[in-house]
Amino acid sequence: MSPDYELPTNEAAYSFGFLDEYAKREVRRCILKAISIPGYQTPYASREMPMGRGFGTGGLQVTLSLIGSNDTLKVIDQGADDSVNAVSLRHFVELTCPGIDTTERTEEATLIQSRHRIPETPLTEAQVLVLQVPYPDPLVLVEPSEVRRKVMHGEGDYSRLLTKLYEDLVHFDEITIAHRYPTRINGHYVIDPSPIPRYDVPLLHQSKALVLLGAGREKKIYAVPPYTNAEPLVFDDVPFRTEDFDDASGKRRACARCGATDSFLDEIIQQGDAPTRWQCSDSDYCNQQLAQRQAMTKVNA
Amino acid sequence: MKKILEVRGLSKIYGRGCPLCFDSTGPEVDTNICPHCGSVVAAHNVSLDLHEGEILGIMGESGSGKSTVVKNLFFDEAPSAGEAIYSDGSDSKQQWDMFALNAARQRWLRNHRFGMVYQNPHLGLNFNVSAGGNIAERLLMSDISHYGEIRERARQLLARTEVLVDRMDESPKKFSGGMQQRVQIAKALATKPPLLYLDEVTTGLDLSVQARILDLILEIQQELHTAMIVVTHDLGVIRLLAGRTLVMKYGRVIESGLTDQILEDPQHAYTQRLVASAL
Repeated sequence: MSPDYELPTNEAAYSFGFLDEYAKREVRRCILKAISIPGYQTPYASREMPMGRGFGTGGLQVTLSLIGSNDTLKVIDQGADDSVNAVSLRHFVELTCPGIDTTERTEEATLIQSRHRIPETPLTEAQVLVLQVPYPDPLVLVEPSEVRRKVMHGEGDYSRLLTKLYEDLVHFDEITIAHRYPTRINGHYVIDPSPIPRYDVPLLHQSKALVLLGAGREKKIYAVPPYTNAEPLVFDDVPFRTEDFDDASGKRRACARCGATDSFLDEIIQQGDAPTRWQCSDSDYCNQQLAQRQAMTKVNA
Repeated sequence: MKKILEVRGLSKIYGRGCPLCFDSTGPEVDTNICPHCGSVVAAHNVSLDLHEGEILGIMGESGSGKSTVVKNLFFDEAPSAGEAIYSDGSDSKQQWDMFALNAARQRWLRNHRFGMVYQNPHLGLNFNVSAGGNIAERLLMSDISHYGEIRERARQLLARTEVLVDRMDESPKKFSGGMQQRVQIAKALATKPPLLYLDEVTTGLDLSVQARILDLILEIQQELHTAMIVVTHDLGVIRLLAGRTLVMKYGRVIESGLTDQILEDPQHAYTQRLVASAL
């Protein structure tokens, strides 16, 4: 979207938050239903948005239905606040919701829309995290028919999903799902927690913040309510494993920029012979760590 | 002997059905298609009893409704009418009115108490996962979620059904027809079900393989004391396996009794023709 673009000044044409009031009400109702049945994929009438499906329209509709003029919004894309997708979405919300604040600081935000990461800074009860979801149904891997998938969800029949994990263990000695790890919510429904890395899955468990997941193309909203169990699907004797970022010698890699050893790292392959760089994927966390470090060196100096 | 399955008045109509369906179909009128509404009466008023550890044969030509009966009892399809009571072998006190259960309870019963071997391995096996994975799926369905245990059970079952254990991580796609059938039997037996349905298990296999599969079934029956319903059009299979037999034609049971009696002294004209043609 052009940064000079302005919405028509006629207030009657666009209501606050771009969506009309009926659309927002419908989305809010679906959100309430999704929270009441943790992990259940609530169908909703996903609206046409002024961007292609697959660019976060599901998350955006949830955000626009929830946001009020006293909210502070943070938008992240793969952890970063300054990538194209995050910047465009933030700009769109700023245009259509006059009066809201935006921020890059996780702890300042009341509403966080995220593409494929959960912030490193622990979320609080006052915050809502909205995740953009491309494929809401984990069973799509094993069952092509949606009618049968619905029955399988209803009956809690996830044996074929576990068979997929069994096959992984047989062929590769470990489970090869890197992201979208099937996670059981509140002991029944198994969700696709959007393409967050395995590293983030434990953050859903007993999360203090409400987590809402919106799929625009697939027209589904589901939720992980605060203080709800979220358990990744595993075998009794094969524990769930997250990415460890250990190098060949078994030492935990540190962020090349801020030096943090407790964050999810992106692998950045350099041109030429330069060694691969590892850097925090969460840009806000990285900036804060860096600022702290610089303050410390100043004090020491 | 304890009765584990009691079926009364089982009927299945494909199509919308009409009040005249049952009267205008059957062996007497030589059709199972209702002339008034065009519905197919696949089974009508089928009743049977099955005791613990017994093998009951259902015999009949193609389209006589024998597979339909088994599919209904395994919850692959829902019957149009009828009742089936399954009693648990251990104390017979636990009873399930099979067709009155909700879908989740039916699935539980099917996963924990029943096993099914289809004629076509494509129906019983998932060819996208390994042979061991197929057995794992069945174990996972019955709430076993310990990887080591699943692996060990799968290995034992495949060894028992004489599938090379070295090939357990291969897809059954690569197996011969007889091997696929053995994997299917291993899968059906994974949860040690008290009741096993066998639908034309040896049809389409060559004779020596047929004989070994039948031997295996008999051995398993003696070892585990599994009750079985064997559906086949092969009189040899009936003679070898079944103690009692039902003969079906156009969806009706036309004759039932001890297998020897039926094969040596058939009463119904159709059975007489069937036995005569086979000899």
